[in-house]
Amino acid sequence: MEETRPPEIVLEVKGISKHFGSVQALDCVSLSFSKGEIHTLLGENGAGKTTLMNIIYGLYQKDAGEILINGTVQEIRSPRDSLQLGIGMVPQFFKLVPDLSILENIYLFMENTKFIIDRKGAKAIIQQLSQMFGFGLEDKIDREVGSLTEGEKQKVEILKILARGSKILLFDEATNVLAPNELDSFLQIVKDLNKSGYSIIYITHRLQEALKISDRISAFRKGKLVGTIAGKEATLEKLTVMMVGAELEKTSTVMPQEKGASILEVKDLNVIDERGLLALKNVSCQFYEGEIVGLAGIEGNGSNYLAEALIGLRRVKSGKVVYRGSDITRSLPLHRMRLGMSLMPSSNALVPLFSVRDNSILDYPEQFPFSRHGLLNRKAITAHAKRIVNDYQVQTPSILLQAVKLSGGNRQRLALGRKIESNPKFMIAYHPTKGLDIKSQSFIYEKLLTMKKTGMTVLFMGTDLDELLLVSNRLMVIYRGEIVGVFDDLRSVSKFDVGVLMTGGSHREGVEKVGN
Amino acid sequence: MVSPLAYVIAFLLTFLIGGAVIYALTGQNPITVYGSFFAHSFFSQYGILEVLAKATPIIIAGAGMIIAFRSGLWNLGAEGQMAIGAIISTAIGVNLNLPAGILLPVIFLASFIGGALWSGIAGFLKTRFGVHEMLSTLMLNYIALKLLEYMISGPLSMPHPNYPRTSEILLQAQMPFLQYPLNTTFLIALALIPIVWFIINRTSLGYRLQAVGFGPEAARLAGMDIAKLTMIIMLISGGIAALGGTVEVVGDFMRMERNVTGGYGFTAIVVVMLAREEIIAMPFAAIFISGMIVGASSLTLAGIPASFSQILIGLLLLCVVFAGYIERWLKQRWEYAGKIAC
Repeated sequence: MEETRPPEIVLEVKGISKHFGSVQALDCVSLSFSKGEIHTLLGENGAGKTTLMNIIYGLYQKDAGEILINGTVQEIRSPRDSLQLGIGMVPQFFKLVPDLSILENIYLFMENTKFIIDRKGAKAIIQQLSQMFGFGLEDKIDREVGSLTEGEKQKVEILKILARGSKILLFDEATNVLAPNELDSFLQIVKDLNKSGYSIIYITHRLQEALKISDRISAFRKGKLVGTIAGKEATLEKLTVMMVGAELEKTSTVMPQEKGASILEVKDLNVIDERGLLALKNVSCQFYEGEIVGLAGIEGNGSNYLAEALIGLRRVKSGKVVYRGSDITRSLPLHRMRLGMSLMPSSNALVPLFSVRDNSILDYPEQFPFSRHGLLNRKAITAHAKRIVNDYQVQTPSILLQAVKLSGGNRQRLALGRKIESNPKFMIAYHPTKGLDIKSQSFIYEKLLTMKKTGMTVLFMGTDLDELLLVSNRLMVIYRGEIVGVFDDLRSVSKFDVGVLMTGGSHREGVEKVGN
Repeated sequence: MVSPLAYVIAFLLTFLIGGAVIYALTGQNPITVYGSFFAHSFFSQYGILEVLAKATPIIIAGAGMIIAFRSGLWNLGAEGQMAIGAIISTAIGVNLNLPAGILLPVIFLASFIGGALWSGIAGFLKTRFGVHEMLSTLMLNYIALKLLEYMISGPLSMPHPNYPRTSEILLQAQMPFLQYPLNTTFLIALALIPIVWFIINRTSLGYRLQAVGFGPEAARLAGMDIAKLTMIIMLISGGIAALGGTVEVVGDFMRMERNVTGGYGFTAIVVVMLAREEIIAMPFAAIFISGMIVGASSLTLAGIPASFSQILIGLLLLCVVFAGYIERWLKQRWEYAGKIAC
């Protein structure tokens, strides 16, 4: 009898849209969350799932649409409102005061607190909650939060919202901070919370986690809701298709080509991120003249660290980078650029308040003919800027226009022109077409393919598999800082094969894996 | 990014609020008070000369600050750098008996180097240890000012002074007056403007420092050595600011006293912000603010404390910032007026 009754809907969003600048982060998303379910929002970074959650939690304001809680429309203007309505969030980056104890951190967050801390009362509540869900924090309640492990800090964040009385719990990429051995016990906690009646919205880009815990899974791609399926029916294959939008047929028509002379060799590269964790683990790869190598990786898996380490913007912990036979592991970026390396970023390639003209020499203001004895040569710079605007079809009324007033596509054309005009031999293109219209995208592909024919090597980092399979001769896949796959012949590779690797699935049989 | 209109609004707002305060405090007609205020500084020959004389160190220190601010560095240490310039100028000016043609260049050069090294400390702390320059330059001010006090009552003190001060600098170190109280040092301040303009707009150093200021991430991605640039900028900025102290010694006091820097280093920061870091606009802002400082003495005649003009200056700065904010906010409202529906 109970089984057949339709589930009670605790939270519903209808037609939610949100834009940031010219980017549509969420496009008319409608979704409902049932009482007592674990509902996973799955998608790459930038797919819109975190935006949706921030809107529900009141951190962002929606452009359009409505939010219903227990059937009534609610305006959520700030986290204060959402907490009042019983919604709590465990943020991806913890919002704890390191110098305060667990008790004090949680107390800060509780409602109806008095001026003088009611330690006894608060302690009882926290201890009871901690015991109930097996957090094991009962004895540490007076310890400073700064001395806890990341996993323990996360438990404090969970206790905060439980103590506050939240009934709908939002988890945002909660496992990013956890060590692999903490993962299972964390998922168990989520399940236990769910069993005792909490509704859970679980945000992740990891398929394995979604499969392990979800009652229902909703996949997002490019700001749109792709679909919702029941956790029981979900398979790795189905989720991969939903997440990366891959039809399963083979798509690449790029013939494998004869390898040219070696240009760059990376050996056992280890790089540490801001938190002191390994962002790149023993990355090894080799590049040859006149090829485009794709690097498929979802953001947050280390491709940005690889880009920065290769161009010299980030210190390397161990390992080697050899460019045309010379060890450049410790060289400055400027030195590497003079040797012929170049980094084409997805954004921040231009100084927004500089004119198109001034931006046209950003990588080489000190080089002849743009300056001599430290003095700028306006004529040469103007001619250079005009040439780039012309050859790379930068739509601008004047080369004196501020770069910030250009459209995204024109900005990237200007940046690409500037990079190519310095005649690089090895270009790292980091998500170079991110957020661009199709016309600008294909312009960038064409230019890179043309340059490849003249012998330039491109390391093309991206997420979009259509794009990667279109331009690449070879393809590598990065996941959690490791190269998990290398494909030398792309004719036999489907988007599914790559998509599974990118999202942390195990490798399917029958695909040749050439680990370096 | 403040439009002329925003400035007009800011000025009106400032004098409106100021006028209300004047009326509330003294019951006098604010317009008459303002009238005598500006008549004193801008409508008498002596007043104008005094305004320009007071503007001299402000313009010089401001030129130094602009170089730092343009590259996104908050050098708030002009006051201290001026103090270092004043100490070095006095030490040399009192003791080194050389002909004027050699002595003055030596004084200016040594002051520049001293000021550069002084703010270089902040540059070093930032690039080596990540100490924010706002803190270090501010703290260095107090050290420099205490050093100055020590110098005037200790090593550089004149024999048997009535109050702590040094002996007069040698005659050949004293720069001539154009017409008292306006000294030839004012011409140095004016000459500095095109020089700094040229550095910012026509050299590859200026190009890079602005790239770092306007787009630090873009500059980093373009491979610029930001630590090295930070150091160079701090050196130049502090060096120029120190000359503000030099002109006070060789063009006004002709010796060193406790208030030789007169807070002009702090005023310079206000001036630079008022001029929105534009080197060409900066001297005008400096002269205007200087006029408000000079005019302050006329306020006392109306029974209003002279420091009221300081309040007006602060209020003006707030209003300019506020006007810029309002303008930006209005623009955003304008652009995203339409809501997006499904």
